[in-house]
Amino acid sequence: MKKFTTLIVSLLLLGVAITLFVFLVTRITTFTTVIAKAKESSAAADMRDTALQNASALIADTAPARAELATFIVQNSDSIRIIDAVESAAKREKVTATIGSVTVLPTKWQYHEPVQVIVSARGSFATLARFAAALEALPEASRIENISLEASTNHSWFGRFTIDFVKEKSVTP
Amino acid sequence: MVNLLPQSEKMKLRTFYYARLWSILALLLTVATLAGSAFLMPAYFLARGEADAATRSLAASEENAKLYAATGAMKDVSLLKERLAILKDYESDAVTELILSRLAGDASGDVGISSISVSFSSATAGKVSIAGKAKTRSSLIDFGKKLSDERIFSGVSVPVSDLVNETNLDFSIPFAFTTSAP
Repeated sequence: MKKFTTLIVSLLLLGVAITLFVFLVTRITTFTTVIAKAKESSAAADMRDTALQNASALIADTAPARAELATFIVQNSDSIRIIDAVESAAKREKVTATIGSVTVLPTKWQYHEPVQVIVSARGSFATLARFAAALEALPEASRIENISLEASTNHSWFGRFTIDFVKEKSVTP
Repeated sequence: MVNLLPQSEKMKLRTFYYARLWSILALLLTVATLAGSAFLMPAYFLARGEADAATRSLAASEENAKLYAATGAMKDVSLLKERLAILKDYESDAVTELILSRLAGDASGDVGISSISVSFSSATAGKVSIAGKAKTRSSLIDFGKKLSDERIFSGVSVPVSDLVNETNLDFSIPFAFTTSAP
């Protein structure tokens, strides 16, 4: 048995040395992978960081223009402005108008929603045409979806106007 | 040379010889492996340092991005983008008065309009449906011709079914309009 002691010790030492070598190689490979992944993620984060910096600069630079832009959109807290706008247009054109319904329509927009207003009005053909023009000229972001005019008695016409306004969403993400 | 050692001694010697031979080989391999490990040590420490630095740099970049994201700049940009798209979509010319005035202007004394329906498919285009009563067949045909002569109207055609009577003809004419036509 004594004559094999050296061989056993040598083999044990060889085992330890190989284990150490494999450990070092494995760790180096792991570190290399970590470096590659971190650099890749870091590059992406830097790009995001740059984009965010640019976005912040854009937002700061365009503050007055954005404020002006916001005046065309009805604020959620100021939804009555839609009704006021329609009633004012009717008053200006001397048309007897009645708001039939105000409905918030479903939308894919994130921050805004369309509000459909149906108005009925009575007057001469010319005044209803001017009323339609006044509705088209409202400063609020809006558009006429459809108009239906029917002749009534004594050169009087009955009109039904469907207008879509845009307002801020009541619940924003 | 004659080997006079007994067979058992010969076996012992051979075993001893091979044990020593393998021991030396194992030791040599051990030395070689240790030398290899020693050479790998600088690479190991360098890689470990680099990995730590890269991880720290990534954490710093992400922290920076979080700080900027917290300012809500992206939300503001997204809101601005949506508003611009909406205003572009809702931009329209005042065309209704033009359409209505053309319709009323084309109707002569012999043609009475009882209803008009205008629906927009875009800011400058859509469909019109006009209904009423014409005193004579020719006055209805003339009215249809006047409408089709208008550049903003297209597809104006008096339905044959509306021309059955000779007098007092009820009519309904659907057609399209586009105010952006050259």
